[in-house]
Amino acid sequence: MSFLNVLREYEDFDFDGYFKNVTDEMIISSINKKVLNKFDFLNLLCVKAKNHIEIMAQKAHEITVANFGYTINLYLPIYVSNYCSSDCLYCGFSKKNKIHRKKLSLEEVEIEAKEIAKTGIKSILFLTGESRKVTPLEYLCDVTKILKKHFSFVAIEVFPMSQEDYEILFKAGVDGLTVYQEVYDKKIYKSVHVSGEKSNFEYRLDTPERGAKAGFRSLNIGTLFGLGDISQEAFFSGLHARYLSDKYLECELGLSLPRINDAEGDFKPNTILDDVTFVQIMCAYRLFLPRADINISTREDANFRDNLLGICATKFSAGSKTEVGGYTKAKTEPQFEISDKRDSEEVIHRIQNLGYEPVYKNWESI
Amino acid sequence: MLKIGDKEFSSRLLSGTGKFRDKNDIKKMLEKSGSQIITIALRRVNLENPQDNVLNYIPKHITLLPNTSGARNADEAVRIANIAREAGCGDFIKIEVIHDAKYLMPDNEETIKATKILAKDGFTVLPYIMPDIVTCKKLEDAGASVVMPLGSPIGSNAGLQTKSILEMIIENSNIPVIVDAGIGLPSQAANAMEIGADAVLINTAIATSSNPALAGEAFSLAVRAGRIAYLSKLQKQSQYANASSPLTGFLNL
Amino acid sequence: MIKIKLNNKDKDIEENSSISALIELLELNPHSIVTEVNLNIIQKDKREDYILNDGDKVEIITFLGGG
Repeated sequence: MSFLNVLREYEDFDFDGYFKNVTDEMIISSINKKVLNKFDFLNLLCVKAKNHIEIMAQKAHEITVANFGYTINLYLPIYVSNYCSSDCLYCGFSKKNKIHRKKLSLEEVEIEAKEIAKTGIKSILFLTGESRKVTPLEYLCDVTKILKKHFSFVAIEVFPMSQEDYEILFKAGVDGLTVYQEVYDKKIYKSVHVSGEKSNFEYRLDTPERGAKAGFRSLNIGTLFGLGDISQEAFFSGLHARYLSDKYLECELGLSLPRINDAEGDFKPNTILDDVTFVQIMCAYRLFLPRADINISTREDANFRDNLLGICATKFSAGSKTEVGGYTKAKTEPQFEISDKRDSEEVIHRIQNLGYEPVYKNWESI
Repeated sequence: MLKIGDKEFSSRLLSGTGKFRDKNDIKKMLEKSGSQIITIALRRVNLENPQDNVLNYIPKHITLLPNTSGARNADEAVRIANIAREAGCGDFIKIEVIHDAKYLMPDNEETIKATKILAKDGFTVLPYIMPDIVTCKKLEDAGASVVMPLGSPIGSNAGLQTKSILEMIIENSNIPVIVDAGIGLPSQAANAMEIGADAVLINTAIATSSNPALAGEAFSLAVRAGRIAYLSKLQKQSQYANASSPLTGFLNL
Repeated sequence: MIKIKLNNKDKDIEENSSISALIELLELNPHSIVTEVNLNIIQKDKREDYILNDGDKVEIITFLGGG
C-alpha cells in the first residue's frame, strides 16, 4: 500500500461534476463538522466555498489556537549547493539554466551556520539542488553533523533517497524531511520534469513515506501551486498528508503552500493561485488536518504573512536567504525571489506585537 | 453489513451470556434483539456442583464469541483460546486480559502480544482494550479483526465516558470498532453508533434488566437508529456563522 | 491408587484409569467439556486411550455465562 493507490482511486473522478453539485449548505455543514472526511475537505476547496471564507478562517483560527496556542515556530533555510542534475521547467536551479553554481565547503557551511545561529533560531532546513553526484550522501551527513552543533532541529530538502540512505541521515542527526511532490497530476508532472532523476513521479510520491519509515519525526509536503489544477492539487496534498499522518502516528506532518513566482528562467505558470484562494486552501488544510503544521515561507510578502499568522499558520521562516552562502557572502542567484525581505529580528518583533510567541527551539533529540 | 473476519452480520449488537438470572432468558433475548454474536466464558467445571453448560441455551445459528476472561497475561489468553477452539466454538476469540482486580481494566500490552500469536494461528481476534490510539494501530498490525475499546469501566453502566478518544479511534481505524463495556442505556448505545462505531457489545445492561428480552429489543432499535443516523450524516448546528472581528478583511473580498 | 491434581484439587483414582473413565466417574457430560492434561489439550477421540499417571494435572473445563 502506498499513496499511489489512493491517487489511483481518483483517476476517473469527475471533479467538475462533483463541484457543480456542492451547495452552500453542504459547505457550511462541512465547515462545522468536528472531523472532516475527504468529501468535506473537497467541499471546502470548491469555488463556492469562497463565499464562506470568513467562517472558515474563524474555525481555522479556533482549532489552531486549541492545538498550538498563540505560537509560531521559526526556522531558517540554508542553501548549501545549487548544482542540479534535473531539468525542471519552473525551477531556478534547473541544470539548463546558466547560473553561477556553487557548493559550500564544510568550512563554509560552518561559517554560514554560525551566522544563522546568531538569530537564536534553533531549527534549520538545509537544501541542495538535486544532484546526487555533487552532493552525495557522505557530504550530506557531514553537513548534518556540522549543523547539529549549532541547531537542535535539522531538516533536509534534497534529492529523494532510499529508506536505507535516510536511515543513515537519521543516524547522522537529521530530524525532518521536506519533499514537495510539486504536482500530483502525473501528466503535468512528466511535462515539467523533463529529464533527470526527478522525472520519476512514483519514486518521488513515496519519498515522504520512506522518510517516515526511516525514522524522521517530521515530514513537510506540498504541491507547487502554478503547475496543476489548483483545487485538485490542494485536494491531493491534503489527502497525502492525511494518508501519512494516519499511517505514521509518530510523525508530525506539515504542509507548505508554495506558489510560483518569477524565478530565474522564464516559466509561465499554468495556473495562478490568487491570495483569496490561497487563504481558502490554507483554511481547508487546517480544518481537514487540525494538527498539521502550516508552513509559510518568505515567498509571501510581509503583510500577507502577518495576516496568515492570525488565521492558522504555525511555521515561519524569518530573514531567509535563498542563495548559496547567502547569509555571509551571497554570490549566486536565489532559487526564488524573496518577498518578505524583513530580517529575522523584525519578523520576530512583529510576531510578538501581534500577540504570538515566536518559538526558536521546538525540538531537541536526547 | 458488519464484516468480522470472513463472516458477515446484519445485526450490529453483540450480546453476552453473563449475569442472567435465568439462562432461559438468553434465548428469548437473542430472538428479540436479533443479536447474532454472543460471548461466552470458559471455566473449570465445578465438580461438587456441575452447572449447566451455557451452550445449551444458545441456538445453533448464533456465532459464539468465547472470551479469555480469567486470563491475566498473554500466555493464559492463548491457552484459553486454544481450549475454546478445541471445544468446537469456531475461530472467533475475544481477548480479555485483566490483572487489575480492583477496576478490571484490560492490559493492552499483553492483549497485543496475545493478538499477534492468535492471529497468526488463524483465529479471528477481537481484542477488548482500554481505548488508546497507539494500541489500536499495533493491534491492526498484529492482525486483529476488530478493536473493542471500552466505553467506560466494565459493569458501570456509565455510558461513553471515553467518547473523545473513541472518536479518534473510529476516525483512524482501518478495522471495525466495537464499543464494549460500560454502556447502560439504549441512548448511550445509539450515541456510540452515531459517532461511527461499527457495533456495540452489551451484556450487563440487558442481562440485569427485569426483562432481558425487552431490553435486548430496546438496544437493538437504538443500535439501528444510531447507525442510520450516522449513515445519514446528520448535521450539527452551525457554530461559526457570526464573525465579530473578521480575519479575512485584508483580502478585500 | 494414584494421586492426580484435578482442577487444582487432589484426587485419588484407580491405576490405569483413562480420561473417559474419569469423566464417567465424575458423572459429567463428555460432550460439553474440554479436557487438558499437564496443559495439553486431549481431544475428545483420544480420551479413551489416554491413561492417567500419578501426579498428572488434569483440568476439566466447560462454558458458562460471561460478557
